[in-house]
Amino acid sequence: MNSQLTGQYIPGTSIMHRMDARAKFSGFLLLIAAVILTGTIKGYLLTISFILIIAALSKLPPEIATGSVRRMLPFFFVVFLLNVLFFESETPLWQWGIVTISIDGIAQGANILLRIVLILILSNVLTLTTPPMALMAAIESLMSPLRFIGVPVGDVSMILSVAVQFIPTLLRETDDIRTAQTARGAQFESGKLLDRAKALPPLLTPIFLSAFKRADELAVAMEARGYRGGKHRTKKASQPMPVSGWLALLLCAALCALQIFLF
Amino acid sequence: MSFEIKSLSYVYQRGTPLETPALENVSFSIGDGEFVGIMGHTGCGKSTLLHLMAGLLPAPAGTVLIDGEDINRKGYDRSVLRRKLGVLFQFPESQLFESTVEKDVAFGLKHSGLSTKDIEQRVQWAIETVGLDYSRVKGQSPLGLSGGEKRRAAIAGVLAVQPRHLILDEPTVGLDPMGREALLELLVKLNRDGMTILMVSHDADSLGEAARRLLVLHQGHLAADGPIGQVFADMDAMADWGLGVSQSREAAGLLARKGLEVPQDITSYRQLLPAVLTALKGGGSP
Repeated sequence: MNSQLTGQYIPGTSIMHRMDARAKFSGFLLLIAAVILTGTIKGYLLTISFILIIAALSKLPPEIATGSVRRMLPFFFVVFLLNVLFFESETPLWQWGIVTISIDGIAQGANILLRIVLILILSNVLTLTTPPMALMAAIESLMSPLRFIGVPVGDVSMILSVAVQFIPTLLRETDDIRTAQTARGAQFESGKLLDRAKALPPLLTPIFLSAFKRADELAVAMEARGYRGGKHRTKKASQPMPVSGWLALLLCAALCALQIFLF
Repeated sequence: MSFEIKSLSYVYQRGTPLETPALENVSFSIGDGEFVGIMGHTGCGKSTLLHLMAGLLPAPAGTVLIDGEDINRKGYDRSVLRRKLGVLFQFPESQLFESTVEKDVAFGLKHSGLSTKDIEQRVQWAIETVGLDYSRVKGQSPLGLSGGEKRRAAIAGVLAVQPRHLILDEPTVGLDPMGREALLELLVKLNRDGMTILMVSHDADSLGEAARRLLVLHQGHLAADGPIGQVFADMDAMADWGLGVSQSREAAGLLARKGLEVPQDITSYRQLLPAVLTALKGGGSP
């Protein structure tokens, strides 16, 4: 009942919320490229400020925009440590067996850490400000050129959007069934690993059953309303990309270019 | 006292933009052997209250006492609670999972420490109590039963533990009239045998027939609490809370408007018919 998914869409009216989803998604890809291309301190200053401005424009509470980052802190720590300790360098500061600490290692660790954090924040902002269905439509329209090499884009996108739509439903159902079985005396949290594994069938069986039932019902309902799929599928509204979208893309591309040529 | 609820409050997703209060300062108590109905418009906090009372959500503010014990106290043994409190959720048939009805009904008895023979007896008792043919269904897959039979099998699974208190969430939804009648009869019988029953429902007719006391929840607050006849008597207030009353109560109201002297705390047809007959005899020709 209380499960708020990480990165689940939060309604809003900020610039980031209103931006065309296609522009947001392609911009997201460009910015990931920019983050990976960034290699110098000056370059990082530019990239970080660019991403922070985007996060600020989304008007999301900072603790939500960085939610997954904070949850993964232990993981980051380990990644950083591994890089610092095991990066092979010509000029070690300190060496003991295979453990080598060097300026290069620390730089490499910081580099990887920054990249992961920045990409996480970017993807948070993307999914927090874009309704899943708009995101799916954007991915579909970006994939549409693949049609010419025989990819069934319409079907793929229908499958994706149905799957995305059913995630909250399935989560709610899982919650309901878990509660119901707990009330009957099932123990999901306590006990040894083996006990917990034994506790799964009462949870999984009903969920699978209902997922199949739902899929069946949905298929019948779609056919009953004349769904034929494939090339017969049309969109409710197909609009050209607005100027603001192109502008945002241009900015992202400019950042990429700067990282390649300037730094 | 079976249940004592003291100043219970609950807020969903506290500290996020999606924060929503579900319950605010709700207090009441329910004695042993009572049959209490809970009504409320969608989103009034019924489900939350039910989850809190069954110990399925921790209570952040307020206390829930069951048989005098705080169920949120540290060190309270939840498995004891599961044995004395049965909970039947909406569409309970979705929780059936075992390969046979017999195994499914026995699920709650797994950790009870009863012998195999005792468990078998309990299962047989439970299956027969809900009105299913034990020898026919025990080896059958629960998924092969009809809709109404599945509901009964799920109820049998809750009853097999022989709980002292039973909480039900919308138990009559999706049942045909016969199935509904049979379920209500079963509940009234269990209650007569001493079980405390708490039934959350939108179905005013069912509550009017079975429940003796009614709680009304409105926007997270306890809006009314009293004998069901009294609560139903004020139809305007019920309408303000977005709720209807039982058809028998409505009929009594209409008859009174036509000048027939029928008491206005009628909730079920069992009360309505004799009342109408008495009124017709006493008042001469209508």
